[in-house]
Amino acid sequence: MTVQRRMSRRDFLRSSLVVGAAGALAAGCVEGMPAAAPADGSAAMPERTEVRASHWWGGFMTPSFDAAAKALPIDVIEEMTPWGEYPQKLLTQMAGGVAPDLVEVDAYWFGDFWTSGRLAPLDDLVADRDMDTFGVDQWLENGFKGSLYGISIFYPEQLTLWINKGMTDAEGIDIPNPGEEGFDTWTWDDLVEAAQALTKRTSDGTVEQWGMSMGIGGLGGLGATMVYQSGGMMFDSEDNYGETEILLTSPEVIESFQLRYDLVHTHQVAMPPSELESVGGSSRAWSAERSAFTVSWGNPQNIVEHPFIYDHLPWPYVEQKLQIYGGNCWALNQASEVTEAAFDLMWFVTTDDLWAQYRTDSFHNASYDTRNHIDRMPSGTNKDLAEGAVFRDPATKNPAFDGGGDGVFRARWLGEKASLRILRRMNTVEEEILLQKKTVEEALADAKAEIDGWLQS
Amino acid sequence: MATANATANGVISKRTGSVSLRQHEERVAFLFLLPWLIGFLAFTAFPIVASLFLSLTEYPILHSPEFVGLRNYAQMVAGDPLFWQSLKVTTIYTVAIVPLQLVTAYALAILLNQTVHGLSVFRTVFFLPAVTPAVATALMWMWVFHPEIGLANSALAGIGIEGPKWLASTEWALPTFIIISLWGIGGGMVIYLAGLQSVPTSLYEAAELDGAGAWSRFIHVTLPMTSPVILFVTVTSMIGSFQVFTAAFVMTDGGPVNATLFFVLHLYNHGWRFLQMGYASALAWVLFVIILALTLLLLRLSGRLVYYEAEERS
Repeated sequence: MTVQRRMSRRDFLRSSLVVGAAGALAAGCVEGMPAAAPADGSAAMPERTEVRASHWWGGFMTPSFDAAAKALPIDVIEEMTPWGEYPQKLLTQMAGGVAPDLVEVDAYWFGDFWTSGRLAPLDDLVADRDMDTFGVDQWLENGFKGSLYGISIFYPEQLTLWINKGMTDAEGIDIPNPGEEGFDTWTWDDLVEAAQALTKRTSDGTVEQWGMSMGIGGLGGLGATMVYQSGGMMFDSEDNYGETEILLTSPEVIESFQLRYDLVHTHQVAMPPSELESVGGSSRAWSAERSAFTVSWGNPQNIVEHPFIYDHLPWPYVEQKLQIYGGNCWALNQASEVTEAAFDLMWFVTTDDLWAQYRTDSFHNASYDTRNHIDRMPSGTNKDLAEGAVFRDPATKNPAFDGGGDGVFRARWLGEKASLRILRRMNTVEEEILLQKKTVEEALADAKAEIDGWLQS
Repeated sequence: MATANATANGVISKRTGSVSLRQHEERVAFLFLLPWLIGFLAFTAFPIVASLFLSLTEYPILHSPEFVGLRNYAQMVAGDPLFWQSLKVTTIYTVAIVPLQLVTAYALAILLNQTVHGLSVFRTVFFLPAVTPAVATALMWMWVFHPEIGLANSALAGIGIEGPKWLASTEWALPTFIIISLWGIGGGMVIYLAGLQSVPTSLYEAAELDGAGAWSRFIHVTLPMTSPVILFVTVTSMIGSFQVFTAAFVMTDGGPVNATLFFVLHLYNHGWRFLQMGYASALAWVLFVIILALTLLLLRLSGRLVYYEAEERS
């Protein structure tokens, strides 16, 4: 005979409490238990340090961190956040004192991060390192008020005009080969003329092929490029984070926005924003062969498989050719308790051969250390295209470009104050202009009044 | 006498025992409530009070708050054009959707209050959107209102109408949100349905005996008897419409040209994108005051229109 004993609710609660407490105690003991010594009596491995690293590049960084974990006594804990939410999350983590040790920072946010006081100056840490490893001056790329705050992951090049070769061939438009004589001599007028020829309309006026698809850029990459290429500046004081005024009403800035407006509305050769929205953006429009040209950064990571032959040129200039500096970088959390290890990791992932080889193999991010990187690439179309994408190296690719004369170097710049806010405000300016809600002058004057208030507050 | 004393002692003893049990139960109840209470104090009450203080400061998160008095409020009124734009967008949206949702949800509830075959299926189907995740819903509507390949414009093209650009158009973006808001009427509908079902059938029978037709019964019985429910749904719907965020964040992020910059999205931008927590807190308090004022106004205006059966009886 089986006797079944029912447990009362009180007994059940008591038992649960006892089991729970015992579990918690056991877990605490395991956590606090020292690691067992090697059984064979061999020397203990060097103590490994955990370094938290945050970025938005998905699995792209993982092989590099894995390599670092093999080469260094470091275990990397990756924390990934999408680009759009990254600065907010990171700044909030910093405010809460729980930010990762190694953090990726985009040039757009330098103004917010450099001034935050939450990143560690690297000057002492790099004192005994070979900074010539990098093709550019790191203090110029990632410096703030004389101190170094980041090491570049890559350097942005200038914006690139991506070309559907089938369409230009069909129209008899000659595209200079990247890297050859005259490859960087396309002007804005050349672009307009080609886009006009490439825009095809049906008899009822419907556009079946656009000359250009170009997204809203505000003062981001395209906006800044256009301003600089028109011979203008965005702030009264650039390169030293001392701006007090945004120069939106200067003739050069007005011209740079007017040119984009004209492309859409006067010449009617670029997709209007509403249509861009409906196809999911300028790159998608171009990939879907809805337009002959589009614009994006010149990194060879943009050189991917397409079902058509394509080519590219430097973004046609207005008054002067342009090279932009200031890309993504790694920086150190000021509050990190493992600064040395985090810096070792930073140095590894920006300089080690494995990292460079990884970039080569995955055919991404070749704008970093361009010559060294592209030299490693196997011969073929991709290498040729990447060669063409390298506009940055004046010595090898563009002897005429010397930073003076017909060209200028500029930072990818949004200033010290409110860079995230300025970026967003300027996107609205471009929307207002391209959606014809305001004239170019009105939209820029309104924004200037507002932004100057922020800069001076 | 002895028996009487014993009985009396027994009563006293029982009473004493009863008081002790109550105290014990109160302690246990409090103990069970404690986790919630701690959570409420730490994560709701404290942030509310803190936000009031922060609204009087400049607080960029990474640095300590600096007291600036009423500057944030002054800036809002005089120096932030987007404050007025977001208020305008939200007000238009509220004015449009509150009556629209009220009428459609109420009409739907009346339909679903009939004795029709498969009624429970219909009720479930109409309520499902109310429990569908907001982000999934937003993404779905983006495709429905896609200017080129969306269902909306395909349907319009079928009857020879060229559809607008919907969310990509400054003129149509907000109306698109208003149309989409109808998707979520299931919640209100369920409450109306409960209200309709609580109307005593004896009232309908009496009205019918008095010769009242369907329309008359609706006007003189159904509407008054469900008026407290209508008021409740109107107030909660108004509050909800002032707090629109997810759909706007996912679908347009406030664009184009701030045409869908709802108040809470504007607040979010300042708090989490520009890290101006002081200013964002001030915006939050202004929103609170607006909602409180409108709620009180609605309650006051509804005084004569809402019929409370219980009050009548007492």
